[in-house]
Parts: sequence; C-alpha cells; structure tokens
Amino acid sequence: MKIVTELFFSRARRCAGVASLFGASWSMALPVSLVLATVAFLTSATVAAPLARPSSPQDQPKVRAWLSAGVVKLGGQVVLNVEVEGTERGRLLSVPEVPGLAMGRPQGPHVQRSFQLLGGRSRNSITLSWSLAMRPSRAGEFTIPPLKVEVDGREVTTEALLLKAVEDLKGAELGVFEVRGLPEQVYEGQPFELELRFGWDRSLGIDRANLILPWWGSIPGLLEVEGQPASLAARYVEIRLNTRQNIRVEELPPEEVRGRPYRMFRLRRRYMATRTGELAWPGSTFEFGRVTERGGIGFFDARPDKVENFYVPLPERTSAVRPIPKEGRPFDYSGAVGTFQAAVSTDRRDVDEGESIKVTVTWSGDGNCEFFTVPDPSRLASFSDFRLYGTSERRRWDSTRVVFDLAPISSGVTEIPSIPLEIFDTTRERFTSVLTEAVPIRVRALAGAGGLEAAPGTSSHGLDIRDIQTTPVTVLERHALPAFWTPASFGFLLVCWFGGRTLVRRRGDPAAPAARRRRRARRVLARELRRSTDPAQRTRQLYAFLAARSGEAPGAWLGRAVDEWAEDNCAGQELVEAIGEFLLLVTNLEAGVWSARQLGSEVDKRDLLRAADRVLGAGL
Amino acid sequence: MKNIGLQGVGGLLVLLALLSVSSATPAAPFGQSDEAATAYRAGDYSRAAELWSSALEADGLPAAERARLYHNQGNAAWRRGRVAEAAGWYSASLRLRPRSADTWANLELARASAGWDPQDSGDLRDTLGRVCTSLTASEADGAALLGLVLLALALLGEALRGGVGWRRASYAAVLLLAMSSAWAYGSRLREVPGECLVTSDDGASLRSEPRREAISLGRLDPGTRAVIVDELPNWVRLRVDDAPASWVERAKIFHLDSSSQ
Repeated sequence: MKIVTELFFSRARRCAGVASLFGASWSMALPVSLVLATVAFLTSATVAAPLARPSSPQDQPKVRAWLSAGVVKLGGQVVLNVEVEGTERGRLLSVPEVPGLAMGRPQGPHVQRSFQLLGGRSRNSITLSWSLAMRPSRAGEFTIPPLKVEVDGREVTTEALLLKAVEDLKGAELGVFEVRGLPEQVYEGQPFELELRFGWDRSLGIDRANLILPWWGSIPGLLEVEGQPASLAARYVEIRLNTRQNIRVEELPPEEVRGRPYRMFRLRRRYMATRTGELAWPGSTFEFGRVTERGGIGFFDARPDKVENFYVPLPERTSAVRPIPKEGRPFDYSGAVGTFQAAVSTDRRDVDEGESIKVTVTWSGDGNCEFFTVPDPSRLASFSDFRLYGTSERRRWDSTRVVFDLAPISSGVTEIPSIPLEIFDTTRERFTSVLTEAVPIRVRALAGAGGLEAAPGTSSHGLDIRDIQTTPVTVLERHALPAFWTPASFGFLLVCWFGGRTLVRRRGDPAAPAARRRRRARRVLARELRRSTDPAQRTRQLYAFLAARSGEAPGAWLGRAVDEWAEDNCAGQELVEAIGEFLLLVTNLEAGVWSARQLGSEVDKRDLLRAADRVLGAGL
Repeated sequence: MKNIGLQGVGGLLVLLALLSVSSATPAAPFGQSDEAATAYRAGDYSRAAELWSSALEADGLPAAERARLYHNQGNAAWRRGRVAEAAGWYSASLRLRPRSADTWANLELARASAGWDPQDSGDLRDTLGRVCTSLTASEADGAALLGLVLLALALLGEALRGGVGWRRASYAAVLLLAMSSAWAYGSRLREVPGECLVTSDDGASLRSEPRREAISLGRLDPGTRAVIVDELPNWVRLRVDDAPASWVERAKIFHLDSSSQ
C-alpha cells in the first residue's frame, strides 16, 4: 500500500510539473496534476495489474521435452520424451513434421504418481508422459519445433530441441568422456555431485568442442542445488553446450590416457532427487573437432570451413530414488538426509545467572545441509534451566551453522547439554541422532538476588481467583428511578425555563446595559463611596445611583421635584419618603454642613448606604 | 418573577428527592454468611454454596450485598471445578456491582479457563461499554440528578439575567446532563431482565419445541448471552439478537437476572 501511495504521489508531482509547463500557475497546477495523476495511475494500474499478478509456479503444471540422445548415428533411433507434471488432464495435440526425420506413433500417456520430499516437506505429485521414436534419414542437424500439449484446457508448448545425425560416430578412441558421482541408488532429498570429465588427444589440434547433454535442465524430479564454489586457482575455459550456449568448464592438468597426453576438462554440478522413482539420464555425447580446410574470405567467396568432427558417446544411465522409510522415523526428525557431524563452541563458559552465552553449533557433512530444520533447544527437556533468547543461522552447501543465544537461569547449571539432530543416515540406511558434545560451564548466582528460577518450595507462579468477600455490605439501597424520569425532568425544565424567560423579557432584556447598570448600582455606589474623599465626588455618585436605579441619565435627579416624579411614575408614599430622605442627605452634603470629622468617618458612609438601601427596599 | 422561577426549580428538586428517597433495608443474615465463609475456609465448598444460596433467599437484600454473595458463590463453584457456572455467578455479580475489580478479575480468569472470549477485550468498543456501564442504576440516577440540578441553575440564571455567560453555562449543563444520561441509559442496558448465559460445555441446542425430540434449529456456543422470554419447569425459551425465540434445556443456561436467582 505504501508503494502504491508513493507511486501515486510521484505521478502527481510529475503531472504538476507538466501542468506548469503549459503556463498554469501552481494554484491551478495542483488540481490539474491530481486529475492527471489519477488518470495515469489508473491506466498504469490497469496495464500493470495482469503483469504484476503473482504467479505460483508450484501450482502450475510443468511441461518438459527431451531427447534420449542429442547425437545419433545415421540409421539409428532416438526417442523424444514429453512429460507433464502436476496434472492428470493432458493431451499431446500434434506431432511435428521435420523433413529428413521419420516420426513414429506417440506412445502414452503413461501416468505416474509419486511422493516428493523437499526440505523436509512432503507432497504428492502426478506425471503424464509420452514417448515418440524418430529416425534420421540423412546426416545433418535437425531442429524439432515446439510440441503442443493441452494441459487443463490450456495449450502449452515445449522448447525446440536440436538433434544431430552423423554418418559415423568415430573418434571414441581419440577422446575421453566419462561421468563420475552418478549414483545407481539415492534417497529422496539426498544431494549428490555429478562430475563430467572429458578431453582429447593434444596432438590432434582440436579447436572446437561441444557437450551434447539432452538431460541438461530437464530431468523431472531433479533439483540443482548449490555446490562447491569455483576455485580461484583453477583455470576455466568456455565450450559449447547443446550447440546453442556456452558454458564455463574447469581445465585440468594434462593427463596421460592410453599412453598419450590428453587435454582434460571437468564440469561439476550438484543435484538433489526430490521424488521417488527412477531418474533417467539420456545418452550424452562429447563432440570435438578441427578445421581441415579454411573456407573463403570475403563477399564473393563464402565457402565454409571444412571441419572434421569426432564423437565420444556416453550411454544412457538410470538412478533409482528410494523413499525415506516411515518406520522408525522420530517425531522430531529434522529432514536431514546424508551423513553429518556436529561441532559446538561457546563464546564464554563462566557467566552469571541470566547472562547470555552464544553457543555455536555447526552441522557439516555430505547431506542436504541447506534444507533440514535445526533443533529448538526450548523444546528440549534438558534445556529447562535455560532461556533461549534467539537463534541465527548461516547455511552453505556443505554446512549449517547456528548460533543459539542461551542464558542459564539457575546457578545449579554445570554444562550446556547436548543438542540432538535427528537425521536419516544414508550409509547406515537408518535414522540416527547426531549429538553435540556437552560443554561444561560455571554459572554464578546473582549477588543479592533470588535468582531467576522459581523460589524454593513453590514450583511456579500461577493464576488463581481472588478470594471471597467476607464483609457484609450494610449500605442502604436507594430505589432506582423510573426510566422516563430524566427526559421528563429535562422537558419540565425546558418548559419552566421558556416560560420564565418569556415573562422576564416582557420587562425588557435583562442583559441590556441599562438593566445591568441598574443591578450594579448599589455595588458601584458602595465602592465609589469607599474610594472617594471629596464631598462633591460623593454627591455625583449619589445622583448617579438614583439615575441608574430609575433608568435615566446621571443628571436627571438634579433639582428634581420628587412629588411630581412620583405622580408621573405612580410611586408609592414609602418610596417618596425614602427618596426624600436620600435627597436630603445629598443636599446636606452639597451644603457643606458636614464637619471635617464627620466627613472622614465610616459611620457617615454607612448612613449614606443605609439611605440607599431604604430607597431600594421601597421599590426603586 | 424571580420567585416564580425559584419556586419551579425548588419544586422540581423536591419531586426528584421524593422519587429517589432512600429506604432502609432489613439486615442480611450475616451470621449465616459467616458460617458459609468458615465452611469455605475449611474446604467444604458445597456447604458454603448452600449457605450462601439460603442467604440469597432473604427478602430485601441490598444489591451490593447480593453482588457480594454472588461473587462468593462464583468462588465456591470455581473451587468445585465448575468453571462455566463460576463465570455465570461473576457475571450476575457485576450486573449489581459493576466496578468490583476482584469480580472482574475472577470473571476474566473463569472465562479464559472455560475457553471463552474475554468479557473485556480491551479494545475501544469494550472500553467505552465498560465505562458507560460502570455505575449502578441508582448511582447513574444520582449522576443524572446532579446534571439536572446544574442545568436548572444554569437555565434559571439565563432566564433571569441573560447574557453570554449564562448561555454558555446552560450549554455546558446540557452536555453534562447528556453524559450522565448516557451512564443511566448504559446501566439500564446492562440490567436486561431475564438475561442468561449458556454455561454448558458443549453449548445448547435450540429446539423448535420444548422437548428433546424436537428439531434442532441451531446451537448456542458456551458463553453466549440470551434473553429468556418464556419458561417451563425444565425448558426456557430464549431470544438471541433478532433470531426467532427457541427452546433450550434449563440445565444448559445460567440466570443472570438477580430476581430469578
């Protein structure tokens, strides 16, 4: 998903650049680029989706074709084999016609069911095969076109094959071609190394060589695995393989064969049989030759070189692949097949409890070192006093090295126990256990700590229920209210609020500045009287108080006749008297009747506030 | 005008107080409970379970006391190896006392031992559900009452004084009330009447009729919750989600409804 996102935004950036090239501003380029990127992304996704669809080659049937021999003497017979693996529904659609090559009737299909073991994992397989005899009627090279096979309703073609027909297979006494390491019998999963040795008499002046191996890359049930790496000191030369390609082979020191010095070469490959049955090695041929007469040089003289070829055939061979027996197979069988040795080493042998020890175990030998499953010490009873922090593996064709990160959790541990690897020994032909040597170690207890193992007297920690509750609960229970009470109360509150709000708003907005000034008038008067020292300033505050309460301008009460105001506003007698007393205090204050002593006393301020409270209490 | 508003709010509060009036409950048979604890300590779990069962039959037990006895019954069932039954007792206890950490721990241990999914898997859905059902019904009512009082005060201020401050206070009070109402709603969702738990190890077959020969319509896995809609002496009729109600043997289920114990 991250890759898809990055792909989209990279396209968006490119498209933004394209849009800006056509004069669009960046503000315009952004939406344009997004649209273009979307179109480009969807287009590429549509095109790329079928290409990027993951294929599962193991699930698809495999079709192969090979010849029983790549070189045949004129008048001899060669067999064309076609095999389909992984399905039981196959049909050979057509037999190609090759001029100069007489074809027989195809025989088959032959059905073979087998059991495969690869890397310790097993699966069943089914194979269909056809065979077709052919005989060349003239010398020369024949290209057999691809054969068409119908597999599960689909048409599949094989690769084209090359057959060489020669008048005489002479030369066996002038060259050498032999195979070493080809077993007559092998167990499934057991690797073996095949070595082809070939060469010719040095005095012949050979300048061309061709290995004709019809089985190269096409033997069913055979898997090429990593082999011994090439030596840096060895000398390598390139020769032809199956006339079509080149291959590097190792040149060996000259050898004396039949009393004559020979130039020798070697080709090594490592294989592993992956299914039981019979491995058929078609006949191979080593072809080498020399130029006896040079051809023309130039445009008007195109005569080819005259070449004398020699042939050394290798007869057809077979190898039997035997299954790993089921009898006596251990539960923890690792899948290892062959002969193995184990070596162990540690990075330290004197540790504290819980401290890590790197234990390196190397299993080597002649077997499938790349494929077996290494043992897990955490599943071994002998490692109960160890904690496994992790493992790391490094596999090669001839060895597997595993580093176990182990930590002893008890000071009573005295050694790292043996690690067993259950294998199938191909020399003894039975299951055996390859043990590492026990490594003595010293584990020191941690100072001031109880150790990592379980405390003495208790086997381990576990989970248990929490105890019963013995204290009776004596709280009084309150009955739950009916379910509707919350929405009902909420509705009731809303109705009350709306009604009250409407009533209050009939007298005006309570949040209006005049209404807020009226509510604050008493508090403002008390504050200002406390702050002021000037009688004139106090007089202004008293008038402002009256004006705020009556909702008028601050100067409205200067010289006002209270009786007339009361008559206009329908004020009661109590209010008129209270306002009269209040205004009398104001008048006296204006007239300077108050002595200096009285002006400064708190009692006089309280008299003023008391008069103001009387006015408020009377309803102003 | 002010007096009218105050009188309205005061009347509401009095009404709520009357509705949520506390009532004294008779004392639980504590002596019996102590005897049961003694039997439990002595390892006589069957005797302890019997005594706690008879204690549960007393009328007017406070919900918290009933929850405590359910918890102890669960422990007695666990000690006798009846893991599924223990899970049922703990579930019933949590319906009455949802914040008991001990009961939660025992329930999860019992469910894990029975191979059931945890009651609280720790994801967002379960966490929110546990928060919303963490109060008992009366506690949730108290929270909702508090929210209503605050809302009444805020609305009163807004009606009499107006202004931005009181309006914001009203909004906050409405939000508070919604949260407390969610609690109250969640507590009522938890207390589904007639709820039961399938405790049989092999689950329970849903039959079309209350007899063993009737056609099996399906199977309820162990640990499934269902609601009882009808009862016969040995059979109960259950409804699970929106599926048609079907009959199940009574021995296969465990009542979670406190009134049914």
